[in-house]
Amino acid sequence: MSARLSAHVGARVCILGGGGTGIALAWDLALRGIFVTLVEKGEFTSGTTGRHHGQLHCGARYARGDVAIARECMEESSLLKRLVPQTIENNGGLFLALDDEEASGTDEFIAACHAATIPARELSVADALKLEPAANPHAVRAVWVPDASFDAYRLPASFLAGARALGARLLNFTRVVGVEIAQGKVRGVRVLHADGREECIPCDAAVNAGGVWAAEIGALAGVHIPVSPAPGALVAIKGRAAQLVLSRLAPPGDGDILVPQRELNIIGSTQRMASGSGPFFPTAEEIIFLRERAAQLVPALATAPLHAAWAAARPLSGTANTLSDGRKASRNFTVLDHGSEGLRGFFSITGGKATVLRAMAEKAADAVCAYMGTDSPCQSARIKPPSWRALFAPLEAMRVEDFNTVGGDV
Amino acid sequence: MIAVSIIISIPDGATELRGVFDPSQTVLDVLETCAHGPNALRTPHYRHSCHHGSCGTCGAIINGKEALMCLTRIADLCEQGSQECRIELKPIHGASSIASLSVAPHPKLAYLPQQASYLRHVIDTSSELFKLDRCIECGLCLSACPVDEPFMGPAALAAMDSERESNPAAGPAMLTLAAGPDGANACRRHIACSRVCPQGVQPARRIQRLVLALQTNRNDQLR
Ligand SMILES: Cc1cc2nc3c(=O)[nH]c(=O)nc-3n(C[C@H](O)[C@H](O)[C@H](O)COP(=O)(O)OP(=O)(O)OC[C@H]3O[C@@H](n4cnc5c(N)ncnc54)[C@H](O)[C@@H]3O)c2cc1C
Ligand code: SF4
Ligand code: FES
Repeated sequence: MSARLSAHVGARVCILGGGGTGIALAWDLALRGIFVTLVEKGEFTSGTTGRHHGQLHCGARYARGDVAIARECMEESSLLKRLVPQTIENNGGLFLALDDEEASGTDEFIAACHAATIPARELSVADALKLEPAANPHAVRAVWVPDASFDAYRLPASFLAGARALGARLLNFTRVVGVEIAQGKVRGVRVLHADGREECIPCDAAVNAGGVWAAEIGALAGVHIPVSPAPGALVAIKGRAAQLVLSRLAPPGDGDILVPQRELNIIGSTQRMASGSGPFFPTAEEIIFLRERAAQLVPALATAPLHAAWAAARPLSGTANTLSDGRKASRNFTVLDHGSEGLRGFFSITGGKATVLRAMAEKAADAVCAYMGTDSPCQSARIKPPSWRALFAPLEAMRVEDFNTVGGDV
Repeated sequence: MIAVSIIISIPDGATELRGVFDPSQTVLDVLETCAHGPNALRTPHYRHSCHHGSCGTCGAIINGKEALMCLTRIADLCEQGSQECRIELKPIHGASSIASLSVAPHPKLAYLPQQASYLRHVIDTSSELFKLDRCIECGLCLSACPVDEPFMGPAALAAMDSERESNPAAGPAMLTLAAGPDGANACRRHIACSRVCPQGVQPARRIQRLVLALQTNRNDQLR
């Protein structure tokens, strides 16, 4: 079914940082009829976004720790499976207990999943091995969950293609170098283009979606943002030993996730604290550690050849902040309205994970629209973006009328 | 550790970056290190995202051959025990330049059929498990292909054949796309595409499958 789109509302928003969060926000705001400029210093998704495991979290991993985060992952992953199905390997996942201690938490784990609306169900080990013959045959208990893997690049690139089709200005290889402020309000954003030209882009509001660089971007506007980078290593093993997303039935820890993708199995991750914003590389010890841990889940991985090893930094929010909607942050991301620090029209969005990129965008867009006095509702939960392949075609070839909704009425 | 000198040659001139690296690090790691160091502003622009050969953005011509910067290790380019490793990087052919090594996606990627599925059955057409297609749309085959006549190029044709194979219902539509004068029959069988493809897609073989299928179709029509 074709979708009806909002008319332009005559408001301009600059988004600073073109990772998954900034891109999803560009799409969400463009759908609300807002003129968007997305500024990214490198290629789009060249920060943390392109480098994660690509696990589309159903939330099971977080169910015992935080039911609200788990439920949000369940909602958003189900939605993305309908909005951008071509970028997702929707094969499900297994949580495996490899010893009696891990197994002792199984009932509690399943109950926590159910509390978060995640349809987890226990399988006999024999049935689990039928689904995933590569799994460790000595597993003690097994639970199926609706986890999936996704293309870390092509999922956000689909939203980017949508934003482009709606007329958003997309500036890659363009660095934010300043924020123009007058009478305590954001008036524009100063950028440096790849060819050395500077430009001031006028806007009514600006959103800092800088990931681990959010503090640096905030400093350009004179605001303090408590974000620190926590780099982690990842390893890709050649071949498709496992087909399903595999996790350990122990509380979340290092090296306990295996995400199959394309012709690879991706293992992650470690986590350390660091100062500065990179570059981060995996150490030899981290690579060995990750391989050993993965071989416990899938023994065949012990000998399969290494394809690549790399690192990515998690943008951890430093302190608990109040969300823009006034609730205390039990979510794992935060929308900061810097109006309270005397800078109106400047927002930052920090934390989160790639799975909830659309929810992050929706919340940030709600806050920005409320500030600008625009009441166009969120449409990104309903309207499917075009294929990322639309980015390869000339803009004229795009027809906005072709956008479809995810079932139901417009 | 090995001394590395990377020379980035673009039509406007060349830039040299130097440093000492672990030979197991990749060409992309070298650029990343330079981009964050004291020479940050002198480091040329380059594309990257996944760092593991999955997104397809980081292609370049490395010492004369198309390859992904994130999967090419220093050790792959220089002999063991050598004192210094010299690496020449050029942007891929045929794509329009943004700045230095960074280019827009290759224009012939526009021939990739947008309606074709990107998901493939893991085992065979009856399996319910899916994986993303092998082709990462990096355009290296398009850069290496020497055919100058109007030709949609190996990437799109390979995608059409893969779709035909995994989704037989789409077969006729894919063959129609490949049947034009700039389609499968414009291939001159240089096989440069299959030699550079980092994903083992073997586009040259897929193009020949299309040529044969088109021939069979024609024969059927003549009969
Ligand atoms: C090891 C690891 C594994 C993970 N695995 C998963 C997973 O399996 N599933 C999942 O859902 N999530 C996962 N995550 C989390 C997820 O990757 C991140 O939450 C998400 O990618 C963050 O996206 P972002 O857009 O907020 O940040 P980023 O992608 O970092 O985007 C910020 C952008 O801002 C740009 N920028 C910075 N400064 C400037 C400037 N001055 N001007 C212009 N642009 C600028 C940067 O170049 C960058 O592209 C993982 C994270 C890590 C570290
Ligand atoms: S066929 Fe191979 S070389 Fe060509 S675009 Fe696809 S992955 Fe790249
Ligand atoms: S960075 Fe993704 S293919 Fe090299």
